[in-house]
Amino acid sequence: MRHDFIDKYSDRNSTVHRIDARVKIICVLIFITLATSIMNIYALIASFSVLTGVFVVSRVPLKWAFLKASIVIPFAGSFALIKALTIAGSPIFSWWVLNLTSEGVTTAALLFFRAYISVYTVVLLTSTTRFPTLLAALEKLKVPPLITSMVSFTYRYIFVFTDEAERLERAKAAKCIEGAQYRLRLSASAKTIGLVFIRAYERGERIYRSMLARGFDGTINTSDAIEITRHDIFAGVTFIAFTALLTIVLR
Amino acid sequence: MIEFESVFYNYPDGTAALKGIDFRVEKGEKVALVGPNGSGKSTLLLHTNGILLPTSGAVKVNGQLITQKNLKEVRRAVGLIFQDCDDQIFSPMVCDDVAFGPMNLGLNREEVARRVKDALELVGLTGYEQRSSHHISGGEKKKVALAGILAMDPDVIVLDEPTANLDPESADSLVNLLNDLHNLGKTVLIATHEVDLVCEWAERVCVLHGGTIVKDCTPAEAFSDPDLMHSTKLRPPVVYRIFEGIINQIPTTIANAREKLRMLTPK
Repeated sequence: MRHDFIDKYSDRNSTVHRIDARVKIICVLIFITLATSIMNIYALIASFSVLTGVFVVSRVPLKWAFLKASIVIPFAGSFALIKALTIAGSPIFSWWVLNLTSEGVTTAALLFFRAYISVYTVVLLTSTTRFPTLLAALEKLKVPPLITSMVSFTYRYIFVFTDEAERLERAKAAKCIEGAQYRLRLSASAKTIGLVFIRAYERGERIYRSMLARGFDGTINTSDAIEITRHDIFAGVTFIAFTALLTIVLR
Repeated sequence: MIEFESVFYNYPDGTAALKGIDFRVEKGEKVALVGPNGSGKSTLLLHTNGILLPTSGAVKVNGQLITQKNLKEVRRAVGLIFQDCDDQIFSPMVCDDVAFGPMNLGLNREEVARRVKDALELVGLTGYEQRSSHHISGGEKKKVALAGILAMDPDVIVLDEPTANLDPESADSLVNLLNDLHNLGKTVLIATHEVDLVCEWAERVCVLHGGTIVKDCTPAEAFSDPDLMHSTKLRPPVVYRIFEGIINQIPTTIANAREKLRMLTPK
């Protein structure tokens, strides 16, 4: 079965794609730190525009990026809503214990946009960097190999397990599960979840054996070095300086 | 090359999987291990490079008894390819996966890079270095798994059900590849149900049943023994089924059979 890449568009070629992954990771971390400390909606809009500019340069479709970042809406949205309705101030609208205040709306909007921009930044990173490159870069940034290999295994096997779950769903559909009583359907679902877990466990055993067969002795070796060029440093410094300047000017 | 001396193996739950295996593979042989499901084929293969160690008995590789100390050398010498490639190819990118074995051998970067390139070239997947492991076809996965083993420069290549789940063209291409490797001096051992493949390809066949080797002979001897075929739940290859009872000297391969038919039919 065909699944979307987690790192869709990351195999395209653009100035942004070519920047060293380590530089990109550090830039993203600094950018998110800056963006989440912004207390001014204009500064937020400005940093959002900067990011959108980078998206345009990287030739990743903007609509796709907006949608991808929208996964944060249910989480950030619900928190923002609670904030908007509970902060004291000059009321715009009031019902029962809930007060919508202008202060509340401002705080909520800030909270929401900060969260959205953070995810938008991560989308930029993953859509312009191939996942294995990202992992290699994390290793070079001294993230423990145990963690990077865990992420690597997850990335490699998530689709294998999705396929297994889908096959089990089809097997149930082939035996007319829709016609069954609610309790039976529930029990079948529980068994499916259990089965996927057991299969994952068994596959884990087999993968470990195949690692042993190729001389694995517990130490995780990392792949070859990647060189940071002056061009990478220049791009990173420019991006961060520009964002920092914007946030300071619009504070 | 590989020697089993009265090897017994019980799984942790007490199931006896191997019950006294005496088995040898000599240098440069093409050996097939056949037998019904649950006969112990896979368990036997897992003993060839020390993934499983026998409950009693001994397994020797290049004359050396497999111990904890020489595991690395044994695993370099005997390359094991598992049935499900998704178990074997665990790196997100093809080149990293092929590089896994050589890196575990402690080779330097240049040597690893050279071996990855050569191994991929040998299996006909030059240019696949940067491909995603989960977006290549089943046949390609099998070849990547093979490349991962070849990069370790093994003396013996052991494959569990190499042609299972492959389309006929991919299966043929894999068999050709195994022949190429054999011509390069590699010893090849496979476990399979595919008797047609065995009679075309193998020089020797070992029939495994209920954890013991019940016959160790040429494919021709094994497949022309109806009692053996019946008791081990195997089916003779197509050429045998066609010529059985018609002529005494049953041809072993399709090419031979064609030759025989030409001689038998009047012009």
